[in-house]
Amino acid sequence: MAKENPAAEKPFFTLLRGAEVLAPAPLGQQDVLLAGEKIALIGPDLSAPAGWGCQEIRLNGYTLVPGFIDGHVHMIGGGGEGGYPTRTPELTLSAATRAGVTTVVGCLGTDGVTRHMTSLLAKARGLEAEGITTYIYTGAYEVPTPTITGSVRSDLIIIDKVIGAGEIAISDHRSAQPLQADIQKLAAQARVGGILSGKAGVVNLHLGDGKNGLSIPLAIVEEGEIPITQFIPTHVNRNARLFKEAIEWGKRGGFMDITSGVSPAIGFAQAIKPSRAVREALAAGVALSRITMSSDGNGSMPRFDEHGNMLGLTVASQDSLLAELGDLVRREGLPLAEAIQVITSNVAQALKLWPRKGAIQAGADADLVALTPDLAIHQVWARGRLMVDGGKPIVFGTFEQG
Amino acid sequence: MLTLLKNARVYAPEPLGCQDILIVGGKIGKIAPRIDINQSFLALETVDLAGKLAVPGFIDPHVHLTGGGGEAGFYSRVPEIMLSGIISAGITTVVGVLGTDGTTRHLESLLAKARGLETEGVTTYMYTGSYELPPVTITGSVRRDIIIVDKVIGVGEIAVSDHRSSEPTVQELKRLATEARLGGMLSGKPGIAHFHMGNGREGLGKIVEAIATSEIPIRHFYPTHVNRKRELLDEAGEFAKRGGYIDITAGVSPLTGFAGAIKPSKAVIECLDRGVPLSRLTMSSDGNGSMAVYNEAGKVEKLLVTTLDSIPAEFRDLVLADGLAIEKALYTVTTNAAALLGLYPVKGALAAGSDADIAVLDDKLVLDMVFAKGVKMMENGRVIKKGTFE
Repeated sequence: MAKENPAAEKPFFTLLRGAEVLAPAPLGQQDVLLAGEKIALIGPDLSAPAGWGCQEIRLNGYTLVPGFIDGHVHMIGGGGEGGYPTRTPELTLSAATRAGVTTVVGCLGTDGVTRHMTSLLAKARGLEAEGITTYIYTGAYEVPTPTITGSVRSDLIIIDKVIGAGEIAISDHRSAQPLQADIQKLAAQARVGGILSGKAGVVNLHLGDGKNGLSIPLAIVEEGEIPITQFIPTHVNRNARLFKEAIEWGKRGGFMDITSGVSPAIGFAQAIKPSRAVREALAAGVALSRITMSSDGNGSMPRFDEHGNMLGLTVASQDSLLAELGDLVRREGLPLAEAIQVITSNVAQALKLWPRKGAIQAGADADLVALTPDLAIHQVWARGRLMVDGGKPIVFGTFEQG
Repeated sequence: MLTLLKNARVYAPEPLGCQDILIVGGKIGKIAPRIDINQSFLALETVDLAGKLAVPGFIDPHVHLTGGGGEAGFYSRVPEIMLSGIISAGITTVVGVLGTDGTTRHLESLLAKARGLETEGVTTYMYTGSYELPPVTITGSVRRDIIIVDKVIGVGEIAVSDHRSSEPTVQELKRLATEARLGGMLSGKPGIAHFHMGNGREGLGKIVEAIATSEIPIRHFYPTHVNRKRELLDEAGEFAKRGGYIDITAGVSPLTGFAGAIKPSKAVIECLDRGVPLSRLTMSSDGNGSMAVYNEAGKVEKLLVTTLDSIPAEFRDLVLADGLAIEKALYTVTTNAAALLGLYPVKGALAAGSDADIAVLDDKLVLDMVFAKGVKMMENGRVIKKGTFE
């Protein structure tokens, strides 16, 4: 394919020396050898043989973690809830990489009429060619949900990048008021499509502020054959009532996805601050492996009053992931090796991408973030290519101004 | 993760002499006269090739992965290919096609088969469509299939000049090639329209007319089976001199019952002698299809299942019987197809950064080892990695 080959622009081998490695398990000080787009070896005091043309980068004093995986991003923009001027713009490459994000799962959102699945697919392929890794959910808020090939099941089987259905809205005034049977049939399609294609086949559920909360997925899991891990409910920290339900869901083994862009500090008065939500879920007995965090990046964040009138609108950025990671460590006291899991290995496990993604080990993709001692981004490596250096993007998307 | 091939006579396909090849995670990391690995790299397998030839894994751009045939009724439907049927021929990249039967054979099955083989270790692509026009597709059009489905690189094999064709018009061929071209442009793929050439009198006539009366570049039209008879090969030679790619079917030969055919290796030599650029010649097996031999009344006289082994066999003949240099012969079974398919130099080359698809041959050009994406699939001439149900 006339695919860009990022690896061709740099030496095939790169040796990252002296960083503290969180794989996410703490491995201590290690050298990491990158070969092309992969991690080839990890070990203390590796040395590249003379004549290999291996670039060496000193990372003493930095912590190396897996590249962040953002499981819910409106790659082609979202929003539109305040009319056409409020349709948010597309994601650019450097907006993802500067936030440490090297894998993005794209979704449509509220607007399944003027936004199209084929556009989302093309955007995902474009970002992939520019250097990061992308997947997409098929569908939009509504049920029956729009697809590319006619059904969720066949999209999963036919299109490499489709890993599930979503985001499907429930308990929200913008939802299609789905019945339990609607969601159940959708989940069945996603599950069988996933089984036949070897993918996760999950259903990403947008939770609104509605009173029904998680009652539909709960009822499905209780009565049916569909396992609880087939659903990934997101925005669960948007209000206290929903969050309480999500904790029960998590304790039963379900994934709970906290939206890092929904926080009281940016105008969502009812929301639980994302870092605090993680801490509270853990304290309530939810296993760490069940907790994930996504940015809802490039979506609009409309706020509505009790009558459903829009109060205001903000665009979500992916930077909130890193900010909440920092707060999780500094304010909530979680060790970095644990905190990092909610935006790396846990997401990879939920989406069946682990250990190619979400892990620092031989054979995994060379997606890495080097963090400073105060948890700022120093470097970002995506599939073996240095995208961010000294905290600044050095690789830009095709139409970005560098 | 790391494999070191020592003392290989490397044809990249250009001859590089005796070299060591380091394989890292499915890719070629380095090729150098001598690569020494220090002790910290313990997870290393070293293989001494002792002067054997290392060449790019063969690329077969026309294989009926889910089985072809059916021309003599349901009993004559050829079964699916197994992984070992590909590896045993030294092939590491295949492009799947449906064939005559676009009714009981489906593109979704072909896609699933291609994905399955990819998981088992080789690299796969496919054409959308079958013999007939309008073409069968997955998503509703050729253009959409190329844009939406990662593995679809073009449309084919569309039958022309054949009694099994849908008797396509020149206008239909132009529309088809345009669909393929636009889909290819928008998805960064080659966007090829691949044509099955039959025994008809018309030959390449309509294709040549479609090119002459449109703006579509000749490279998008890719005819195969051009060695099936004398007149067709003559026409194809002229087509290739104008810049078109032509595909010689390794499985069509007088030795396998096709009386009017030109032996594939001889067809290559003949084309080169007539001034066809080497870069325009590819060879495919038409493997796992049926080869129907018809009598004068148009009845099936006999059916043959084609294997992929004709590729290494004709390559060997090209060098040992017809005297073509090894590197030149390699172009027809590796590099040229990679270039046509937009895969070069990730495929069809041995160089740092290329996929570690490597065939190892002894000095009689008999296959000894095969690596596909860095994994050893054949050893001592025996396939050691089998498909899921083999």
